[in-house]
Amino acid sequence: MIIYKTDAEIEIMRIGGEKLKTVMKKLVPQIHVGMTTNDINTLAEKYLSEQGAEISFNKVEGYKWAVCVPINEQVVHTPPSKRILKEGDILTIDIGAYYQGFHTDHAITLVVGGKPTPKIDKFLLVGREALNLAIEQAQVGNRVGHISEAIEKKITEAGYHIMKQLTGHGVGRDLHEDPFIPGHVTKNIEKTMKLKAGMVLALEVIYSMGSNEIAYEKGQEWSIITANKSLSACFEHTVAITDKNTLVLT
Amino acid sequence: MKEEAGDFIVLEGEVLENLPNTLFRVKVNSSEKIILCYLSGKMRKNYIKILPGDKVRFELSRYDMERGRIIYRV
Repeated sequence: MIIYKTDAEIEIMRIGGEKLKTVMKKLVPQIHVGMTTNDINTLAEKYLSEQGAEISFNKVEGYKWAVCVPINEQVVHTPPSKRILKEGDILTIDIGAYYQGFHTDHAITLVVGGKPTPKIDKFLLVGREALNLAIEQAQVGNRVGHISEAIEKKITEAGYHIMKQLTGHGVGRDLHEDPFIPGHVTKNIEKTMKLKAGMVLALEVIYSMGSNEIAYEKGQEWSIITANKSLSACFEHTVAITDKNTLVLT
Repeated sequence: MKEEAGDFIVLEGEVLENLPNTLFRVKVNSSEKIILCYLSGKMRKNYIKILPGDKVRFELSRYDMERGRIIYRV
């Protein structure tokens, strides 16, 4: 069931999204070789608190942290740990903010040390561009399938693979709401849900260099990896669809 | 809100479908009710694979009767 947000609720989420955007902007320059992913979590908590927002992710039952920090072949949901960042690590920072009863969700992938090879640079650029194309499709009159198609086309034309089991989602009072927004076309686009004003969506581009299959990381409770251990990346924004336009909240 | 043992009911059912985002649609035994379920941490950690047709045991919190937590593959 889709929960449509009122203008007032979208305004609350807009403010929450602005805070989350600020948190990410402050966090990224702090990422350096030698720090642990626990350090990233500590900073995220600090910046969220400074912004007057709460942690979102620890409202998911059993997840105790503010961020997910998958690295390299890890795709999503990797909790922070004592793992030390190395030069060249492909790090995804996925954070949520909870503000006045509403969640917003945002993720970026970067190279630790800031010196990507041309191959990695292209890999990440394609993901960012795919997210922009997805956002362009997220408007009244289109369907969920148009978003999926845009993501899939950009990623597969560049030779990469959409992680088929992982999707974007509605977001609001719950972190994960209907609808699912796959990164690939799963059925006739005209049979997918229509996008309407009041929908707030976390659009996610989740992809890898070598496989569209996931696996649970052995011995880990949450972390999901690519099935063949190839590198993966994730870019995500929360967007609100209104009658007039689509707002990128994060 | 801390949940206590009395806040959960334990049910059994059959997995109908693996959904995106590692969720499962489960039909409750002796009922037509379908519950959206996720895997408990223990089951993820121990690499227990769940497929359509599997019989599972799951917990439902009385605070959220729409979302179950699969705790055992029967």
